[in-house]
Amino acid sequence: MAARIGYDVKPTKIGPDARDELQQLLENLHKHGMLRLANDLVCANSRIAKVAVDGLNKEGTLNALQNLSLLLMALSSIPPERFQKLVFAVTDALDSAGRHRPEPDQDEAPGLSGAYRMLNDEDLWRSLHPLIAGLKAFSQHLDRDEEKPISVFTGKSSAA
Amino acid sequence: MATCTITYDGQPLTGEADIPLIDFLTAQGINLPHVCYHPSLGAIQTCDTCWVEMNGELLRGCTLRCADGMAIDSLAARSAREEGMDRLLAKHELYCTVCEHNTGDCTLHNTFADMKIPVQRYQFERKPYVKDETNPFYTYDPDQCILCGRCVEACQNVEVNETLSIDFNVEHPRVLWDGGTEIAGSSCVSCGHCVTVCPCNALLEKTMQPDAGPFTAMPQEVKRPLIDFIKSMEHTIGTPAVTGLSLMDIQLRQPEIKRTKTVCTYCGVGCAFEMWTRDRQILKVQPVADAPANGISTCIKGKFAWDFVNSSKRLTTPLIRENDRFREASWDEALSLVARRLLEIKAEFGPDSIGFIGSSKASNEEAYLTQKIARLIIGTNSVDNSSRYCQNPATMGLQRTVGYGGDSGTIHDIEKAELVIIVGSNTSENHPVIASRIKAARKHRGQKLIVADLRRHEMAERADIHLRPKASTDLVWASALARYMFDHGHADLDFLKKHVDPAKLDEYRRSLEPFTLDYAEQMTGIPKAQLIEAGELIGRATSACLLWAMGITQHSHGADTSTALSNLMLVTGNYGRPGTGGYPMRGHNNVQGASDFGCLKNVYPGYEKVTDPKIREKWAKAWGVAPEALSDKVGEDNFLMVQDAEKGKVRAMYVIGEETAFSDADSKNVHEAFTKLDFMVVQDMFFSRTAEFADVVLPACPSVEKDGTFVNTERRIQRFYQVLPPLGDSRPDWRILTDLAARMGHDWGYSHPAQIMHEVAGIAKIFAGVTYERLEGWKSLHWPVEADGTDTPLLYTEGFHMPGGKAVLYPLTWKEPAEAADAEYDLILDNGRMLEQFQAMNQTGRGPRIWSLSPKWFVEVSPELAQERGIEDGSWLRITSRRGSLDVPALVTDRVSGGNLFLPLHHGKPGLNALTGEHHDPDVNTPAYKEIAVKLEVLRRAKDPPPLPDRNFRFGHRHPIDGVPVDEKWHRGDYLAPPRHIEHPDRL
Repeated sequence: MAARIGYDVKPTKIGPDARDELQQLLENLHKHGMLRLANDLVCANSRIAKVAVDGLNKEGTLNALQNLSLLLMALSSIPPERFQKLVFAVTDALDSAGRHRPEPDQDEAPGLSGAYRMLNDEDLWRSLHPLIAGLKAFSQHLDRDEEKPISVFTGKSSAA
Repeated sequence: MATCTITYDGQPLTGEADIPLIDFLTAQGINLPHVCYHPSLGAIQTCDTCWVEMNGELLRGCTLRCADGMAIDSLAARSAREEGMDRLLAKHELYCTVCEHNTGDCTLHNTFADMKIPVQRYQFERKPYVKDETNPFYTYDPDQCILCGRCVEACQNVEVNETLSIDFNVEHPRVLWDGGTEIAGSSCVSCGHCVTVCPCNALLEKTMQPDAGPFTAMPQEVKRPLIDFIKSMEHTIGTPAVTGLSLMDIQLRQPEIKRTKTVCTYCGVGCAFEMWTRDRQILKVQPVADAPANGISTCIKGKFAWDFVNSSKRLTTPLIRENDRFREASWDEALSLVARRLLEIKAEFGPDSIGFIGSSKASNEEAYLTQKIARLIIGTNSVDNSSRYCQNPATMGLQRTVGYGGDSGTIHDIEKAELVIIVGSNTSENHPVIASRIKAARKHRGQKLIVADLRRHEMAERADIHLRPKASTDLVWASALARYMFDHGHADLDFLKKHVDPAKLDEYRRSLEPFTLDYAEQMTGIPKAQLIEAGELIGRATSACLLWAMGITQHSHGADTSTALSNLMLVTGNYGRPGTGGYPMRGHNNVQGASDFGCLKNVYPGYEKVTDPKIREKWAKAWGVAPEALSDKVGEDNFLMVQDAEKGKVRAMYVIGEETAFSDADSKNVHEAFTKLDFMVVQDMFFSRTAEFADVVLPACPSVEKDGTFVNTERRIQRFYQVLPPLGDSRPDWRILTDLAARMGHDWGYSHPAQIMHEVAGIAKIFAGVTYERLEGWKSLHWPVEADGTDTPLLYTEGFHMPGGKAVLYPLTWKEPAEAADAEYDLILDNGRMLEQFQAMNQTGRGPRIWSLSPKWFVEVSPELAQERGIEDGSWLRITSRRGSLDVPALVTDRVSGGNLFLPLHHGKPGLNALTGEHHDPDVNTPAYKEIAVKLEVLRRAKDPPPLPDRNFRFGHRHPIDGVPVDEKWHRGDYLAPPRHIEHPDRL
């Protein structure tokens, strides 16, 4: 004969704990070769560090990093809308300048009198015209009230 | 399949004719962008993203059906489609990488990504509403809602609960619940249809929030600035780069999200769906259109009631009773003890001193093993399942008249019937998805509906005719209507001549003589005019299906009444044709399968009789023993096992997944009987009330932690797959039973349930062609299944499963119910399930979310009785039957009338069965749970607040509409058809 008795169930762990997650992470890192790479990196750390430091200490690398830093510092001070104008103005100028095709026999220095003659030289002015057109486009672009870059880029206006 | 060839962007394409263009193109591997279109919902036409050009005209692609010669130009309509998407994005903020819904099936995200839109035209505008978190299971975020109306369409026309709507005429349209802005307190039944079909994160499961993705759980104070940062960057770099991030995020989520097909373990509809999990977290249940029984449909339990799986109360270690307490034990020790004690008791008291109760919630394979242990190892046929408590009378009624103890057709047949008759079944609460199909057939094509029930439940409210008989008198009106058919020329004489055994016909007709309409009116209380109205509707219907459930079977003459209902269907020729038949609504997910696979006292799997020598020989041969090793004596059923335990004839019981101590009638007697057993094993997920009497408790797994098959109410066999590993040291029942058998000298060596099914299919004729391969994925089979895999969705098309292939009209006489009201016990206590709960709540009771809907027990009292006895909502009542009494607060409602009370069967420590008795149907030994005469005393105790919270869906007021009112949107002055731009896309 069995009398009726109760029992308090002990809760069972539901879901992974940190240890399980770690175990799974290890498994995945192994499966995808990341542990091998990490091991390689750790074991070769002195030699890799030497290569990296040598490379960093080359004049060109130092110049590049310092210039990049300067560029980033300068960029951080420019509001995007001004920079946008500048970038697209340069693009337009380059575009205009690029359309110029110089004539083959006009590459000697003019001299002082030559410079005077140049002022009246219609051919010369014709040759300078692309540059002036470029500068004009550059300044016009700076004055333009611009749409969003992506709208300019795609041609689709957006109020978003 | 008829085919057609169309031209799409100059390319000829050939495929199925007369299907929606979008589906046609999808089958060809071409994606025409679309958001609101859903194969299960059709063309809603709200999203404006699927425009194409045909004959120089811009048309919504979702409205087109393919036909030969169609020439579609999608390129010409690109700007219109893009304008449509731009308008959606004015209503929906894209922050996909940190959105829970970006799991790969977000329609909006995927469509946007496919369209490769460089930047959105319109600014996203917030709406003047807050996110609604008042439902326990899902949220609605108006700021993310694109007003596509999928949810409205699903609620109004698939589920047909008719709660959701959109009013496009207000300044800021949004989804409305009962026309209002809060979910709680509306008629929303939390079926989840709206959440399932939502194409974005506007409607989202709470279980997905907040950590469905690796970046989604970050605090709002980080998430918001991050979203703003990305939005700023979009001004410069556009959306493709940002969309690239969200596409990568989708890929990141895939390895950790597992999608597994499973089958619901609540009622007998057999809803199948994908369950999405991340580790042990159940992210969501995602129904799919391919699911054969339910498509995209679920109810509150299938969609949301899975908190029990990870309940801290789950049993995970075997327990052994020792010195009046339970101690933990190893599997080895526990199984060895069970094996030893069962064999000792068999040796000492004989095979029939041990009884087995199999589980109607466990798989077919587990039912098979249960009966195999009982029959082969122990040598007894005393094996049963909970169908004894509910379904056996229906089975008996069908076996007497047409042959097979199962639904004669499918849910599809019920949908297509001209007339549906529901008797003693609260279908919308107990088989909600089937109810939805009936409601939809009624709403869309005028299917007629007759409901016979004491209670005015939802289906009764929707019925053309609601017959409200006196309790236990259904046999009378059913027989009177059968007679009416003969008397008024509605009997299908051709059918009777061809398909019904003529030898019994005259006797049957004579048996109907007493059942005049006057007699029926007198006995049932149903007005004669209403009976005639019902008789004419049934008699004139070209096809009718009759559904019945516990309101019929749980009476002292449930088998006879079931027989009378089946007789009525035969008389009117309603068997063997599409849209006809008798449909007992099976209550548990596998109550059909537990019986089909042999957990019955008189039959082997496949309903093969234990008393038939040839059958016994066949099974003995298959199991490798002499026929004499198997008993040819019909065993004891649940009901008698318990009685025999009380008498000392049954000395040991093995109960699997059944809460017999709570569910069996007259629980006081049941408890006394259990205490007298020498040995008792309980195998369950939880430490149930029944386990309190056990000597050994074995921790089993729910269906989502194992593989197997179930049979639903349609006789449909479906596979379910393991979603999660077993919790702790719990084990699948099939493995426990296999290991136990090995310890009893029968090492069967099953390592997967497929091997068990293979064995059954090789022996039981009706499962001959059942294999796991034929059940793979969303495939299913209706038994009987031929060896070549041909199954039988609709029974009796080639004759009946009776001698000579002829059905039998079974003569009946009226018998008084075993218990009726008298001067002292003057009221009748009806009882049953509630939509949001299930049985003893061992599953639905494990968490606060479902509890919040109906936290307290109550008894429904009619307004008439309440007025007569001075009862109000919350008044404490003492309900006393001839066995016992219980105290419960009152809920006054017109769902019940006169002297009928209704008590939900889920709650309470002693529960409803403190009141029920030993009286039962003598034909099948099913307790007459619904024949309880009671008296009522209003207690002088301070009134409780109303026991049902005002936020319960029963207090809602439905808002029926035809569907999404897209015309209203188009007629707004500020709507212009794309590709033209508009000023306020966020408002329509």
